[in-house]
This record gives sequence, structure tokens and C-alpha cells, in this order.
Amino acid sequence: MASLGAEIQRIVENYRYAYPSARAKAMKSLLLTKEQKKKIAESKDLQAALYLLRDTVYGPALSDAKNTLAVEIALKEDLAKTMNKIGSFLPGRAQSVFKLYLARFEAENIRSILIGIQAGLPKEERLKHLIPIHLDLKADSYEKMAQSKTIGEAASTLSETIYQEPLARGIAEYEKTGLLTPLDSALSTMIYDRIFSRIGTAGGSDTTSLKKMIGIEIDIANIKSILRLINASTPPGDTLKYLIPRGYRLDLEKLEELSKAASVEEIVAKLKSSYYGAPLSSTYSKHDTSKKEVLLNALEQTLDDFKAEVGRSFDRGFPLGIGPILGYVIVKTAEVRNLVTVLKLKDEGFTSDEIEGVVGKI
Amino acid sequence: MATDIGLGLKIVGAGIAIGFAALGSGIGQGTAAAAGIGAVSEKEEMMGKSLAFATLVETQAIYGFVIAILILFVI
Repeated sequence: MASLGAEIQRIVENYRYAYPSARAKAMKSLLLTKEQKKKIAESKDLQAALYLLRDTVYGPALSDAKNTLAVEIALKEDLAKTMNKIGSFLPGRAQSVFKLYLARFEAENIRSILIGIQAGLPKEERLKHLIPIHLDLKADSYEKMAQSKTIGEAASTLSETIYQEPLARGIAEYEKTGLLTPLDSALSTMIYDRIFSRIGTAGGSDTTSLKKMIGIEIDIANIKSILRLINASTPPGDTLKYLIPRGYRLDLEKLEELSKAASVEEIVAKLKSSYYGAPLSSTYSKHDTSKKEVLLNALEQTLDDFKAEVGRSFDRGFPLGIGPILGYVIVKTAEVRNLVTVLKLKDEGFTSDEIEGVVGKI
Repeated sequence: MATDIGLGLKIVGAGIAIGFAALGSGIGQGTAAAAGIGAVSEKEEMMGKSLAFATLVETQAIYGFVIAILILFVI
């Protein structure tokens, strides 16, 4: 009887996800092929690369982009539109969870303005890199924020939004350390808390997959933070404060252990037997450990590539459910991020081999 | 009386055969068509393949129909 119930639940789930998962698969088939990516990396300059992109899914978005800043904004805008579109056709609870997930883009915008304020950039510069996605914050909220003279003042302009509480929590720590990491971590923790409370204890393969995707994203963000903080000789107690709970494979105990590491090498060693161990160890062994910044960038790129690889595997794990949709979200995000980097490097005259060295295998 | 019971059972059997076959086919066709619409909305060239997949599922209903005919007129 229980198996009949499970079978009926599976049929219902397949029925609910037939339309969105097929649509996501069709969208995935429009992503750049390996051949196209290779040609872009080998192109003469930025204009030649943009010409090649003319006949791809990015063509309409890039039609008016002439320089790297315009390209970056156009690609991020296209990504935000795609994510909004996915949010609109997901069924039931998955849709409301995904809409909460989109708050990541707003958090990224807040972070971008805060970095601009900290670096003393003029208002226009602070607003230049924003992703045009509006959930809780409208364009004038960003304008007001960007006019602020200090980080504290900028945070106070968001007093009637969902970002007030995490920013208030992070600001005290920021004033002590001068680092934006506490604000960043408080925003991320708030976003993930809202997502997990919406998912609740619901069963089904769609919520399992959502938890897995978000959990992996948290783990990777935590590993990146630990690598950066340990490299900057942050005390273990402080490192732990900046990490996000509810990861997929790295629980608080493991994070505490990692935060006590004395070096990047020790972090990689401590993670060796974990889910993320193999790719990290492989990258670490291939790089010159004395060039710290290059090594950290390579490890971060490895983690992003690993996430994209997991995204591709979602298709195989849950082919008729939410899997293809989550897989597409991960792969599309990775593709846009890599494309922005490749086009920037192209503009600076890098060769395809040098580009491969920065963004990994094209 | 015996003929009436036999005919009644035949009619019920034929009904069950076509009923369940059509139900399963309907669910399957709904799923396939929904997936097809999803794919076509992003990639128009998928129209032909989507139609083929949606109609494939219909064969199950045809099997049910054939069995119902056999029950009613051959057995």
C-alpha cells in the first residue's frame, strides 16, 4: 500500500514538473556549446567575440553592448530575466522557494553598493554594476543607498526592508573589523533561513533536490570564506562567526574544525575526505603554493566548476522532476559568470590558453 | 437469464478494458503534451517531436479499445 502511495506521488510529481522540466531542458539546449565557447576564447578581440555571440541565446541581450562594462551588465540582466522566468513557471511550493532564492541577486546588489562606498567611489560608479532585479528593493532604494557617505548610513536606508535585521547585526561587527564579510554573511544567512523555513519539513524529491542545491551552495560559500579568512590570518572564533549554517555536507562541527586551520594547505588537507576533497586536492597539487592569490583564485574556480558539475548531474538524478530545472539554474549561472570573465580577458588581449588558465577548462 | 448475465459481464469487461486504458493514456498524454508545450515554448523546432511523443501514448488507449471490441464481438 505504501509503495502504491509512493508510486502515485511520483506520477503526480512527474505530471506537475512535465512542463517546467521540459522547458528548462529546452533552455539548457540553447546554452553555448563547447565549440562555441572555444571559438569565443580564440577570437581576435572583444568585438570579434561579440560577433560570434550574435547568433546565440545571448545575441539579443548583447546587441547594444560595445564595451566590457555594458557586456557585464547586459549578461547579468539577461541572467536575472531568465531566473525570473523560471520562477514564473515553477509549480507550487518550489515557486515560492525559488522566489526567495532570487533575493541572492538583491543581496549581491547591496554588497556591490557597500563595496563602492567602502572604496570611496562616486555614486554613479556604485550603481554601475547592479543587476536589474527588483523584489523587495526598487530602483530608488538603490539610489538612496548609493548616496550614503558611510556603510552605516547605507544600511539605515534599508530600515523598512527584510535586509534591515541582518544588516543591523552585521554592522556592529563591521565597525570592529572594517571587513564587509560580516554584512555579507548576515545577508546570506537571512536569505537561506527564509528559504529553509519555507521548504519546512515537506517531503518529495523536489524539496530534497532544492535542499541539496542550496546546501551545496552554502558549503561552497563557506569554504571560500574560510580560505580567504584563514589566508588573512583571521582568528578561528571570528572565522566561525562569518560562516553560514545549514550546509549540505559540512556541518557546524566540521566548519569549526576548518576554521581552526592555520593555512590553506591545512584546509585542503582537512577537506580531503569530504565531498569537495578530490577537486580541491587536485587543484592544490597543480599550483605553486607560494603564489597565494593565484592559488586562492584557482581553488575558488574549482569549487564553482564542481558546483556546475553537480548541476549537470541533477538531470540524471531526477530526470522528470525538478532536477533539470535546478541543473539549468546552476549551469546557466556558471556560464554567465565564465562568459563575463572570458569577454573581459578578451578585451585585455589574453590568449585562449591564458583564459583557460583563469576560468578553467573552456 | 444466463445470456443476460453473460452479456452484462462482457459489457462490464469491455468498459473496464477501455476505461483503464483511456485513463492511463490520458494521464500519460497530458504529461507528454505538457512537456511538449514547455519545450516548444523555448524551442519552436521541437514541435514535430513533441507531437510524436504525445500521440505515442495514445496507442495504449487503442489497445484498450481493441480489447473491448474483442470482448464484445469475438469472445
